[in-house]
Parts: sequence; C-alpha cells; structure tokens
Amino acid sequence: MRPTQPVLQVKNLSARYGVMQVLWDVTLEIGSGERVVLLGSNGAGKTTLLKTLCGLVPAMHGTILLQQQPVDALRVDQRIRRGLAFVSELGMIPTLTVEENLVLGGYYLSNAIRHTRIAEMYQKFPDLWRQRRWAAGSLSGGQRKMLAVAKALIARPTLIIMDEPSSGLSPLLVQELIAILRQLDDGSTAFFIAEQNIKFLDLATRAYVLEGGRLRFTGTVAELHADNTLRTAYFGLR
Amino acid sequence: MQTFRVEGRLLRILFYAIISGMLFGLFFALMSLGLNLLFGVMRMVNLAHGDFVMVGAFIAYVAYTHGILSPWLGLALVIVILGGLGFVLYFPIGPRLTGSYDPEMLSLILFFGVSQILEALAVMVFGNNPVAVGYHVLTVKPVNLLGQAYQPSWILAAGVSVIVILAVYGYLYHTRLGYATRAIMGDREESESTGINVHRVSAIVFALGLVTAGLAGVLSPLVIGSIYPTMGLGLTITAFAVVIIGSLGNPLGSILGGLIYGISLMLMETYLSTWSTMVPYVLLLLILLLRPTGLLGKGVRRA
Repeated sequence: MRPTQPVLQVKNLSARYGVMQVLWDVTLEIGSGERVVLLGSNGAGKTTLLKTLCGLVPAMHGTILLQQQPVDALRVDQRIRRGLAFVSELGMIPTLTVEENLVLGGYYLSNAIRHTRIAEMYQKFPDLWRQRRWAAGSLSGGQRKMLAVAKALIARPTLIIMDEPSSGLSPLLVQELIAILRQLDDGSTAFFIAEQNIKFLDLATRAYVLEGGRLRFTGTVAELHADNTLRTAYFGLR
Repeated sequence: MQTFRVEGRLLRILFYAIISGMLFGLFFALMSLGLNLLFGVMRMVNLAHGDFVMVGAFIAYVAYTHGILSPWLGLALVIVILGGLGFVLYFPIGPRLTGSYDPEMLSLILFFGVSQILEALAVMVFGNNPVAVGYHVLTVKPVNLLGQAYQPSWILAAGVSVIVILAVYGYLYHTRLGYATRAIMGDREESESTGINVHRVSAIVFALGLVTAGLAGVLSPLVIGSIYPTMGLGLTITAFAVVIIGSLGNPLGSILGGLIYGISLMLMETYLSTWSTMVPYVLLLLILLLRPTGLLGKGVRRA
C-alpha cells in the first residue's frame, strides 16, 4: 500500500546525537492523512529520527521533503510553519497555563483564527476548558497528553509527529488516548507515531521498525503481524 | 506624654525608612530586571550588567551636555541605542553561548571581558572623575508626607521604574511574544519544538535586558548621585544580590528582591548607617544559606 501523495519523504537519512552516530540510511515515506507507527525499543534511535525530521537534530546526510519540498536547510520553526507539528514526550510547557500553551500551538496564526481554533479545542476537550488557567505542569498525565494533542492540532498541520505518546500513562489511559486519536481522524492530518507500545498498531495502517539506528521492517500492519521473526524478536510474542 | 511623643517620632522615622526604602527598592528592581531576564531566557550570567547601566547613564549625560535637558528624552535615546545594540549584539554571541556545553560559565567569562572593555572605553572618553547630570527635578523642593521630607527625584525614579516594570510584566504575561519568552525560560528545547524561533525571541529579550539596564542608568543620577565609568561593578554586585534574593531566572523575583533590598538598606541607613554598605552582601549570604533558590524560587537553579 504505497501512499500516493506523500507529505513526508525521507531518503538515506543519517544523524548523530552528540558524537555518536545513531541513524544510518533511513528511508521512509508518509502519505497524506496516513497513520504510521514507528516501533523500536529504547535506544533504537526513534527520538533522534523524529528530532532530525523536525530540525532539532541536524542531519549528517540524506534528504527530507515535506510536501515534496526539501526542508533540510530550514529551521524548526520554518518546518513547523510548513505544516509539521511535533509532539515530544513532554508535549507542552509545564510552567505556562493550559491556555498559553494552546496560544503557542497557534503561534503563527492570526489572532481571530487562533481564537476560533482554541475555542474548537475546548469543545473537543472540555477538561482543558475547565483548567485553562492552570499551569500545564499541574495537569494529570492523561490531561497533559490531551493538551499536547490539542496544542499540535491548533495549527491544522498536515503531519503530526509524536514521540512515545504512551509514556507515563496507565494502560487504561493509553486505551483512552488511542480512542481520542482515532476519533480525530478526518483524513486531513497524517500521523507518524514513535512507540514501544504495540497497542498503537491498532491505530495505524503501516509500520516501520527501527533497530540499532537502521530500519528493519517496512510494511503494512497486517504484514507486521504476520512476520514471525519480528514478533518474537521485538515483542516477545509467539 | 513625653514617652508618647518620642515613640511618635520613632514611628515617623521608621515610616520614612520604609517609604524611602520602597522608592529606592523600585529603582533597584528595575536596575536588576535585565540581569534576571537574560539569565532566565538564555542562562547568561551578565557580569557586564552594571556597565550597561553605566552606559545608559553616560548616554543621558552626553545628551544632557548637548542641551537635551529632560530625562524623558534620555530615556527614549537609551531605548533606541541600547535596544538596537542589544538586538544586533545577540546574534554573534547568543547562539554560540546558548548552544555551548556550559552557557553559564562561558557567559560569565565573556561578559567579564565585555565589562572591562566598556569600563576602559568610558574612562578613555569621559575620564576617571565623577560627573553630575543636573536634571531640573533634583532642584525641586522635597515633598512632605507625615512630617518627613522625600526627594522628588526619588519619587520620579521610582515612578518611571514602576512604569517600566509594569510594561515588562505586561509583555511577559499578556502578549504572544511574552508567552514565547516564558516558554523558553521554562524549557528551551520544548519551545523550539513548538515552533518558536528561539533566537529571535532571545535577541528581543537580550535587547530588553540592555534597555532596562540603560533606563536605570538614565535614572541613576536621580537616586545615586554622580556617575563615573567604574560605577558598573558595584551595581552588578547589587543587581546580583537583588536577583538572588527574589529568585534567579524569575523576573517577578527582581521586584520582591528590589523592595527587600531597598527597605533593608534604608533601615540600616536610618539606624546603623556605618553598616549600611554591607546590606547587599549580608542579604545575599542569608538568602544563600536559608533559601538558595531565592524567595520565589521553586527548583534549584544552577549558576
């Protein structure tokens, strides 16, 4: 299942973190509105890959195209203005209030549009409305994730990159988060989610598996489920 | 009856010490605000902070000797000159420092050099002798309040300081750029991932830090009298004391720190004047021993 209109194309991307090279020749593609999961254990290079895509970590070589335009020379904020959103593990600024975080999510929008979008998010997530004047750091784990997702959605990005959204959440909250992400599916936003938790495969159509900084598997979720070697090696399933 | 009268006088003196301490403290809050902003946003320890205050004072002095007699125009000049200088100066040094392994230590050394250069340049141009800026307000009769006389120049300096502090507060808490500034204070990398152009915001804050220091410089003849090229070092130390009392990295802490410093200084001046120069150091020691994060501090901060 090849995406027809790619929002993200990555070719032979290598990167290092500090002095150590952690990514080797990663090539991948995300189609418009597609949901793709990047699986990998701790230290596999998932976060570095995501940060390199956003421009937080410089690439050693390789190319990154956002909506068919090269973005390698662009700063993080410039990539974000081109329709990218990055939800880090933290996902928000703990010292700012919920509302201030949402304003930052729509930093480049006009005042009127930002206002409307924030109101839309409050409708979608009533908890955030109730706690809009609270410091984001005082929210519970689940509410923080909601804020992180809402903050990313405000700018209506074409691609949201998420780093370990399940971290710090109980299994029940992980289910809830997956349900929320599924509900948000209107086909206009593609998701690229780095995870260790295979429950996120329920959400995706395609998956990549990263091991030791190299892609070990590329294919549909169905193919991944059928792939016995991977199942045993990465997830301990039989 | 006699005791009552004596107590009344003592109370009036105490009242005077507190009110004049607050006026003084507001000036010192403004004077140290920039130091706190720079540390909060960029983890820069600006050892040249007091020298930028001195630069502001001498800009006002030059303007005054060239016929610009109003302190208001001096304030406007400082905003333009130091604001522009700060914004331009940030780009060659800011990104290198913030991207370095230890921005705090490196900036300390770098700004020590800047401090020496500014001082040397000022001595070359203006000589070593103190000079006075004879603003008109310095000649106005003192204001009487409950039997005590207050200098109008102090009231003016405190008033301008309040306005500038409120403006900075408004910027930080009521503008989008201010949210971005506070976001960077909270978590630099997370702010970058959000899409904030951290270097642009940092350059603005750097300019703002220099401008607030310069504004305090323009007001300094009103509060601390004559100005001289080497005045920066003492002011830097006082600014550090004020900022650490309040909380390093929290701009609101400067206001609290300034008020505590001003009132303590005036109380000492009133009751034990020979000891008053020790006030900033004693306060600094007490705070570092009892509450190292400062009065408004939450987590432990480095530097």
